[in-house]
Amino acid sequence: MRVPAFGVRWLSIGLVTAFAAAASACSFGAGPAGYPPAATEVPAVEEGYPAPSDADEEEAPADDVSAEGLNGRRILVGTDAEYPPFESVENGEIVGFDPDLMDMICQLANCVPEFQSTAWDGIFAALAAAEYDVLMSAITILPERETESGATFTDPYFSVGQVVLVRADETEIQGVEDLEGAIVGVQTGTTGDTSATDDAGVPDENMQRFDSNALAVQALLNGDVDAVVCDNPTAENYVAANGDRLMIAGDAFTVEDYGILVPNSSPEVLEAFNDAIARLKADGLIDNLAATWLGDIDPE
Amino acid sequence: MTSDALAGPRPPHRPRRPLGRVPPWAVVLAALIALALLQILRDPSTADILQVVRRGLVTTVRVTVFGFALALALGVIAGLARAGRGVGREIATLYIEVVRGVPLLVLILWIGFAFAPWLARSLGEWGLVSGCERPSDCLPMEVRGILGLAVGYGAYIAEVVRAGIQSVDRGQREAASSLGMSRHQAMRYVILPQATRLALPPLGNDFVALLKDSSLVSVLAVSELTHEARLHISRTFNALEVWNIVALTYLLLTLTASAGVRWVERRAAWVEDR
Repeated sequence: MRVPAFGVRWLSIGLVTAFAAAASACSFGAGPAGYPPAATEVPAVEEGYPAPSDADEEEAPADDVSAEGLNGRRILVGTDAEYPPFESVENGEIVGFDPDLMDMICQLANCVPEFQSTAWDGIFAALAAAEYDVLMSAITILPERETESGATFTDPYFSVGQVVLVRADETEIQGVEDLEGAIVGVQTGTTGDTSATDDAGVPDENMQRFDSNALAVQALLNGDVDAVVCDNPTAENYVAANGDRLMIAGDAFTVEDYGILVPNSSPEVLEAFNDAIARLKADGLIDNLAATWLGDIDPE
Repeated sequence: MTSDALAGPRPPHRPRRPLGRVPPWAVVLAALIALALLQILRDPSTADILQVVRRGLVTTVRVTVFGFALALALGVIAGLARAGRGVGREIATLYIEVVRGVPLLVLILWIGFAFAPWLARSLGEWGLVSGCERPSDCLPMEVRGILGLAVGYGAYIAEVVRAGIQSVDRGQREAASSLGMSRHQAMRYVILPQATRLALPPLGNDFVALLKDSSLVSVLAVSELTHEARLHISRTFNALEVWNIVALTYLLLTLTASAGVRWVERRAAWVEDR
């Protein structure tokens, strides 16, 4: 084999470098398609929910069932951490509304949450196989999901609705009723997917189903699809992350509740979580958290 | 089978087994597949799943065939250029090194979400194409997926082609030139026929590998077999049954492809023997 002369070798190195520079310099249309709000925002939990023991007695009444609670048990939480602002990976850590809320729940229920990222596909089968202790991944409460994962949903901790996300220069699509004939992008198997086909009546051949909402939004920015259907906090987040390039068309056309999936084999966890969710709701702390992560959207 | 073995021009020293050309591993495999099929056919959800498979299969085969055809064209051009000298060799080497250094999934995502939209928009702006309201009207996601597979596998095929050319004995080239053949004639009539035969087995490998990697284009929302399966699972939640059938379908596809490849190899060897 002929050894390339030095000149040739340097030439190819130069070419690769030039190519790389060109590729990074060209903006191929995309901004950061979806990232959670800037890390400088301090989630409410860091101010600390008063731990049940040292809080003033009026706020933490005598329901000290949860003082022992789960005895400091470690809870492995399965999540698809590609769903900002509910959960996303930032600097190698899973952050968002759900992890913060789980921290607060665990402070009340006396447990230590540990989030682990997994793919949305197969997430329910993974819980059925006991690969996680619970699932918290902005999961809409649907009975068949309980059957599939051999688990029960907690009481709803948050409610969202599906909205239509379009490019800011869109004039034809003003809301869900204008989706006829439009190419609609969704994340495969999400409620955005089912509500686009079932509620909005988009025919199958006009659906483009992506692995994640981020890819669907990228396709929207690229002009490959005309609209993306996802829930309103997610949509708000993409609008915020992409400045003036996206907007939400019309109002939410569904209402759905998020819950945490707890295996039927651990009823004590379900009970402790439900108690904690009820207390956090009553104290308005979930609303505070929502204000931090989701901004000024109104969950129907 | 005995009659064609006797009549055919195959060399007589090949060992004959009771089942003719069928090797023992294939018998075991066939039995396993039959067993799996029996199980699957008993399951009530099979009819639905087969519908899903049928829909996805057409796309998978289309993506594979077009992807491989394009990859072969790219690979042969790049491989020939790489075996030669001059600027062509440098360009081919650059292409091969860059593409082999990028994971195929990333390459497909890059072409699908960055390169293709940019290309479609630019072609529109330069007035070369018109009437594509969306980039996907001119460059559908499936075409981008095929392009991604072709560019990725083209680099591997180029190396197979180069290796095939370079492993033809030096003496063949010298003999050709001593017969008064030009460089071009030597390549066309002496080197390439032998190189093709040498390149066939690894090319067959690449075809089977591309068939399996065609599942990667599902990230571009192309409804091929894997994508259809995932969609069906997200609605019905019967992951086990669906993946069983999908895995078996891929296996049957690749086994068929392997058999085809072996047949082509045998044909090539047969021509040589004669």
